[in-house]
Amino acid sequence: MEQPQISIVMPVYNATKYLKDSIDSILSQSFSDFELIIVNDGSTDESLDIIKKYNDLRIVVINNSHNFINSLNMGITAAKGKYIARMDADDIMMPDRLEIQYRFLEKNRHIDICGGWIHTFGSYEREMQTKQQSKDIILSAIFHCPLYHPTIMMRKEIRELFEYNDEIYQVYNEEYVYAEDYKLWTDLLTKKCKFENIPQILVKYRVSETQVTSLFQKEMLMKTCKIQNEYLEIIMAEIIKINEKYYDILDNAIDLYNSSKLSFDNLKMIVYSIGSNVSDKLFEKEYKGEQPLISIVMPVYNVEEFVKRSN
Amino acid sequence: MHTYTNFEFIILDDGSTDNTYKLISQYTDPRIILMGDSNNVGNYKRRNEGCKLAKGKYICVMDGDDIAVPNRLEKQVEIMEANPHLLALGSDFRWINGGIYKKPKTYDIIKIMLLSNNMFLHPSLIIRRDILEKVNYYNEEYYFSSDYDLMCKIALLGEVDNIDDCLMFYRAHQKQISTKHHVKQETYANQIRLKYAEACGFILSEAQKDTLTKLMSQRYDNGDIEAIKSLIDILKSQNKEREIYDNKLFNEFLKRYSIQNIEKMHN
Repeated sequence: MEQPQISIVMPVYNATKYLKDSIDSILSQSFSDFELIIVNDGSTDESLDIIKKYNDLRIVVINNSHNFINSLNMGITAAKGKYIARMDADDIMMPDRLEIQYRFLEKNRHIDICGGWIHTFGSYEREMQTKQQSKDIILSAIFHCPLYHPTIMMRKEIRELFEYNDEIYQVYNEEYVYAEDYKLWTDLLTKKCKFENIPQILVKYRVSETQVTSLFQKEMLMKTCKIQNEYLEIIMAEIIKINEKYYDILDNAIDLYNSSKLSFDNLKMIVYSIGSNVSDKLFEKEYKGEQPLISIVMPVYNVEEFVKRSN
Repeated sequence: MHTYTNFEFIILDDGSTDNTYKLISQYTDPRIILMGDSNNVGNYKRRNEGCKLAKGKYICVMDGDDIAVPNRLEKQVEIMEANPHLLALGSDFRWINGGIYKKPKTYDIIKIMLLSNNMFLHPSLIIRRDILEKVNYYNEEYYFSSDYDLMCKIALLGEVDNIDDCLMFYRAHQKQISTKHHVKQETYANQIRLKYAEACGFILSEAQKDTLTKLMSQRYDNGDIEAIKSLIDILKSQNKEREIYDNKLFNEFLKRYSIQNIEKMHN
C-alpha cells in the first residue's frame, strides 16, 4: 500500500450505537488520501461486525484486549501517514476536517500539532472554542486541557519523542488514564512542540446522556491536579530561566501555597500572570541548524511528462 | 539533482489536471514540500505563496522544465556568502540544443541596462530572502513582466549581478504567449521601465516618457526621431547633473540608441 498522507487513529470500545455515523463521516471526507486505523479495544458488542461490513481498503483494523491507553499507543505506532489524526468512535468529523488540517500543517511547518473547535451534540449543543496561538495554549494549559482531543492532528515524528517499549511507542501514559490527553499536551509543550488551534469547528462532539460515575470524576480530578502540579513546576522553572527577577516572587508563592496560605487556584493565577509577561519566550525552540540555507520555489502546472523524465 | 544538500524544495501545484500532483507526492525526500491545490491561480501567485513560505536565507525560483548544472547552488551560495552586499545573482545559460547566452555583467552596467529590459534569466537567479520580502515579492498584476519588475526593485536597493558561467540549461517555451498577451506584456514592461527610470532619478515630462518607452521597446518610426534626439540629450544631461549612473557607461549605452544607429536599423 502506498504511504497515505494521514493516519486516523480511532479506538473503538462497544460503540455499536454511533460507530456507523462516525466511520461514514470519515470515509466521506473531502480529503481522501488517508488510512483509518481502527483499534478494537476489546469490544464485547457488535462493533467489530459493523466495521467488517465496510469494504474500504483504507480501513485497517487492529484487535487488542480492553486497555484504552495501550490501544491508543498501538494505533499511533501502526500509523504510516505523514500526519496522525485522532478520532473517537462516537464523534462526527466535519466534511472537510482532514483537508483543513492537512493544508494547515503543510503550510505551517513550525507547528507540530493542530487542533480546532468542536460543536457538541447529544445532551446539549454548544460551540466550544479554544485558544489559538501557541503562547496562549502554553498558558491556558495551566488551568485546563488546552486542546479538544478528537480534533488533533500531529506530525508522525512526534511519537519518536517517547519511549519505544514492547514495539509500541508509549505516547500516552497509563499512569494518567482519564486525563491522558491533558498529560500528553503538557508533555509535548515542555518538549517544545508547537501547537496551534484552527478557529473552525472540526468535529461534532457527542455529549453522552450516561451519567459519569463519581469514581471516574474523582480519578479525573486527581490526575488533573497531578498534571497541573507538575506542569506548574516546569513553567516556573522556565520563567526563571528567561528572567531571574521573577525568582523571589515565585519562591514566595510556593512558600505561601505550601503553608496553605494560598489556594492552588491562586497559585495558578500568579504563575499565569507572570508567565504572560514572558509568553513569547516560553518553551522557545532553537531553530539553529534546522533552517535550510536555500529554498527552491517551483510552481508547476501539468508537468507530468517532465516529472517522469527526471525520475 | 544538486550537490548542495542544505536546501528545501517547495513545489506548488497550480491545479494540474494531469498526474503531476500524484507523481510528485510520491517523493519521500523530506526536503520536498508539496503545496498548492486544485485551483489554477497562476504561476506568480504560486511563486509568492512559495516565497512567503520559504525558510531559507536564499531563494531560487524555478519552473518545472528548468535544468540547472549540478553544482549550481554551491557556486552561487559561495559567492553570495562572500559578498554580503550582493542582493541577487544570476548566470549565463546554455540553450538546450545550442549556444551559450551571455548575460550582462557588473552592477554598474546592469543598472543601466535595466532601463531597456530585464537583464536576468529568471530561473538562474539566487535572491536573498529578506530582500524579496523587502520588495514585497512579485507584483502579481504584471504577469510575465513581474520578473522584470522584481529585478528593477531589487537593483534599486543594491547590487545585483550575473556570474560569468553557464549554470542553467534553458528550453525555449514551446507554448507561445498569444498576441493578446503580448500587447499586455508590452504595456506592463513600459510601466515598469518608466517606474524604474523615475526611481533612478530621471524627471521626465509625459511626452518624454512616451518617447522613452518607444525607444526602449524599439517601437518607433521616423516621426519620432526628433523627439528621440532631444530625449537622449535630456537623459545625458540629467545623468550628469544628478549622478545617476556612471557617465561613461551610460553614454555608451545611449550610443546604441543614437540617431545613426536608429536610422541604420530603419533602412
